[in-house]
Amino acid sequence: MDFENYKLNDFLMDDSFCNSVKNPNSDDGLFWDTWLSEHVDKKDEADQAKKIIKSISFSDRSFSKNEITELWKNIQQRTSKINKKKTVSINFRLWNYIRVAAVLLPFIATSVLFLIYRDSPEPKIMVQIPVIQKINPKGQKLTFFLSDGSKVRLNSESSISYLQTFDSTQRVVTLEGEAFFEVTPDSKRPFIVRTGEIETTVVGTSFNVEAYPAEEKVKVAVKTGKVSVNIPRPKTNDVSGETIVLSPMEMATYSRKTNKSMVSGYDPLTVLGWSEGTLHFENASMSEFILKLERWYGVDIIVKRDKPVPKGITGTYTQLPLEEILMGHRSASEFDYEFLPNGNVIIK
Amino acid sequence: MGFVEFHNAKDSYIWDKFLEGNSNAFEILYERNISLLANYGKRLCQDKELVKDAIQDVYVDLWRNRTNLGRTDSIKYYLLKALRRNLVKKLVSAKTAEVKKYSANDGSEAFETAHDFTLMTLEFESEKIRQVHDLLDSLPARQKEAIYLRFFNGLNFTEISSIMGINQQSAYNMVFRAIESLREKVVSAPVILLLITLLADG
Repeated sequence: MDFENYKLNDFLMDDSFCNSVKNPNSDDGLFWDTWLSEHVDKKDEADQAKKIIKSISFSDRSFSKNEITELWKNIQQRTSKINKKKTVSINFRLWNYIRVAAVLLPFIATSVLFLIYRDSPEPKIMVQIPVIQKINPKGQKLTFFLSDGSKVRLNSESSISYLQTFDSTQRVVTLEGEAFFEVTPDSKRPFIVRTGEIETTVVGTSFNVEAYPAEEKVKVAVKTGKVSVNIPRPKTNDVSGETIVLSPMEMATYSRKTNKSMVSGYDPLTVLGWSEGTLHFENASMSEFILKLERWYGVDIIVKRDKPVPKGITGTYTQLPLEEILMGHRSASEFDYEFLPNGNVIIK
Repeated sequence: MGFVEFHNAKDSYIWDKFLEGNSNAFEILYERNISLLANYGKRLCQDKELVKDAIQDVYVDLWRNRTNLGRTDSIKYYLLKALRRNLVKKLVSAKTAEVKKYSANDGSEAFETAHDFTLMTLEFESEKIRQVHDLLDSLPARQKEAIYLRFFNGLNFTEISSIMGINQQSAYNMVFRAIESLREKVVSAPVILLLITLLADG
């Protein structure tokens, strides 16, 4: 940098010079101190620039002390809620580890027995691959990549677990809740999504799986490529029951109650919109509406009314505050709402 | 308060501790930056309660997303940017709610009218100082915002452009034009030169 040619404007526009005026003790401050002592001919212009910078002052409009304390209390109240949720999910995580361990136990036991009975002294190193688990509380979404490059977008109140590095024969993830997958093609290693009852197998494609434990229906919707869904035979948990092959724009809906499944088309906005940040309702019932809002915004919504809403709720929202959505539907759906200090909502 | 060790710590240290989930560090992040945010927020939007809500959201989001955040060189830049984004969102939706339809709306327009970067009125206000301030006051709102971010908050052009959602060249031009007219005054009018000298003495 040739600061030798600096004019008043150049000093004023120089980041490091401005910083040196604001923070004389910073590195920038020391630098310009030294530099100016070596370039006395620039001192006048530099001084002028300094004065201009100093003369630009704005009035203080901060909040009062009380307001600042009050605001902090509100923040603390809201963050403590997040912390509580974290604790719950840690328990949940532990439980999942136990579950994974329970599944793995017979295999380990068999291997150990096999090794013993083989009566061979050959040393075998068993490499344990860590199981990764991602858990989203309500109100949070997460996008990440698996070791094979596949992209996962995990919806709120959902969890997924998988091996840190997949083995050479298959790529298995276990899902509770909802996720959208964009799977890296690999014909030698099928990609399998386990969701309790049903198992979804693909080679390379993008698709959505919705399998919230509390909900009666499990849905698999395909955006691109082909997906095969294994449905268990009624009253058994044998996943080799029935296989449905889905093409793009097709969705399989499996009922946990009846063990029956059906294939249909689907509305991309309703089913996949969430993965692109769009919340969409298509003729939704009040309970559907509330459940989705709770997950999306990470709040609890308490319904204190017995009248059903007159008609289905329809709407598309991108990055809108919760209150806007409620306000928009208040009159049409004949409900009223109230925000509690902790951010939760009562619907009347 | 049991976190004396943090009070004199560097911003980067506080930030690292905060990323680890230390709630005391989080409180320091609040204490150190609240005035900065309040000042900026209230200049962007006259509605004080809305500004408070936005600041609340910024901190709650910060805490909620801390596991996904990386290290940062400039916390104040990060916070100012988050606040502006949140406020724009709130102002846009407030405007949208009025017309009761959820069409795509350009946020900048609703935002522009809310700008208010009024300069400080100094107690010892002399005629000359008022001239400098009048000049700055007469600048367009966005130019004034850029000047504010640069000279009041000490941000660099990359940060200013990112906060204001403009490219770096525009941010540079905005500040440059303001400085240029300021300099013209300074150079052409001897009175202002006098002011500079007066300030130097004071």
